[in-house]
Amino acid sequence: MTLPDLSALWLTFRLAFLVTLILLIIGTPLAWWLANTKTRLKPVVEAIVALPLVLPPTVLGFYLLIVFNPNAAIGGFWLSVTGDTLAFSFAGLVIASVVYSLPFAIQPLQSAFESVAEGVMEAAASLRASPLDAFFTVAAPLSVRGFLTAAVLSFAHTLGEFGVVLMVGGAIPGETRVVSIAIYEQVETLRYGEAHALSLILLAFSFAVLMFVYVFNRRHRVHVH
Amino acid sequence: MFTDHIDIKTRRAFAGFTLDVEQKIPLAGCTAVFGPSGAGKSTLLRLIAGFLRPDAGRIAFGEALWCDIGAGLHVPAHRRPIGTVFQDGRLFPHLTVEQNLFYADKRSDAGEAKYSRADIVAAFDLKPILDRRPVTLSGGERQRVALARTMLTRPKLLLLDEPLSALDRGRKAEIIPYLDNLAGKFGAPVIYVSHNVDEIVRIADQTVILKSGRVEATGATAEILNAYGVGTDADAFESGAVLTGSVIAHDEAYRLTRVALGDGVISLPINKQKPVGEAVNIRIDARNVAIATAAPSNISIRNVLPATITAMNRRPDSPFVDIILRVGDAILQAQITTAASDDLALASGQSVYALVKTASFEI
Repeated sequence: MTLPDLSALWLTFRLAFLVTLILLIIGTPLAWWLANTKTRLKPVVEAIVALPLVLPPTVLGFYLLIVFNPNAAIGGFWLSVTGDTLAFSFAGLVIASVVYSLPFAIQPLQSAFESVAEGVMEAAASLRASPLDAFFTVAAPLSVRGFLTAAVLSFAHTLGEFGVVLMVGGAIPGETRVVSIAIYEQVETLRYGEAHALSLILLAFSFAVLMFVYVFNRRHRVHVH
Repeated sequence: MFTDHIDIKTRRAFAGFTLDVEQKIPLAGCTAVFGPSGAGKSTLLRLIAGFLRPDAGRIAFGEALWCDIGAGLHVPAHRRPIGTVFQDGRLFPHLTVEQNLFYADKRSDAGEAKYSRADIVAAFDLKPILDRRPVTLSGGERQRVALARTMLTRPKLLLLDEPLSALDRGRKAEIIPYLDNLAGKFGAPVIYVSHNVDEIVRIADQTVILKSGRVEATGATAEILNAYGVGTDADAFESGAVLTGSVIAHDEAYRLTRVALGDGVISLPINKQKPVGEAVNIRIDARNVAIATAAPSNISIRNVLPATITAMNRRPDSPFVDIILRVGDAILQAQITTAASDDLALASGQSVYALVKTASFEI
């Protein structure tokens, strides 16, 4: 076993952290809306959010590549603002990962929000709490486990992403060469020692995180009568 | 005292049910909204609170306009100076009792505080349970905390939605004295929703009877309950009657409160909340009233009221007859067997004695 590829490891964690953060920020209002809306469009939005669960990563990556193209609206806009292309860049990887991991953030949050009884939110309103106030002081604390599950799943899912990265990111060291790609290349070129080092780190990390989640969920059960 | 009104004119349609209410409720004392389940009582409360948006109508609280659908105005629930106490308390499960109270206190208008958090903790006897979590509280304790928490929003109007219905009889008796306090001690007008006659008789000055989404009648509690349903219409609610008497004494030795009623005096289990001289409403269930044609002796029942039979309604396919009696100015109702009635040869216009067991008074 040789020294692990630290730059790939660092890049992967940076990516997963950023994606998780973005997903919690945009996922929370979206999940809240899904949990409370009475619109008939709800199943449509739910289906779109869940698409990455069933779509082959290559299909998703293919469409993202098209969107990222500098001649397309989004890709062109990005190029004019940053002077850089989205395809084969870290920024593009972040956007792709957010789309790819979206259901892993939305679904636990939505089910947590749905289990916050409407009655408790009415009680908060009757105590003069505005909807936003009530969200942060009542709904969010009662959904701690949902937030934790969403964060861990988003992080872990981004960590293990392969197909989409291969399609939109390639393997530029320090830019888009994440751990899963690095391991793939190492195995391809028969450098099993390096592959072992990276794989073991990922295995240990994933196990530790999941252990933490299960232990936390056991201890931190919010009692609802 | 200047009394204002909440002026309600509201309509809301649901599948198979429409609530259509036009009613002024005085902002003083306690007004009950009474009716069978499904009459729209809770819906009316939710419309007043702002949890529900009416299809049409206008709700004015004194000078303030809370809702005017025609003008596109609907003040959201959290901006209405209302305190709502729900049937199930709805305490925040992730906060302790003290934090639940603090939640309300922090958000209330401190400038208008006529009482402090400490006053409320003392008034509702919450000191021993401040550190507890809602899940560890008994039903009675939970409702006490819910009431206290609501009072800390310093409401200008209190809406109580069957706050006792989840409690057993013992717990109810435990909470009722605190409810008596609300309008009196804290000066907040109360709208009290219930389908329980005994609670209403005990707590409410005014009563609005709601039936199938419409106001059926409104007025002083005893009057209105006797006129609609409780006194005469045997199908509507439990048969019985509500009488208004005045407290003449509290007998400490025998633990009884004596109340003058018509030409007689009846004894209730002692209740020192009501001072001597004050009027009290007493509900007497028809099944607890017996009739004698002569003043009985050698009997344990001490509540013997001279009465006149005004009507006798035989129930078809039933062994019972409903007898309407006049006691002074009040109406009393007795349910006895037709066999007994025939045996005593009871008839309309006859002078009799109505007998009521003290132990039959619930509260």
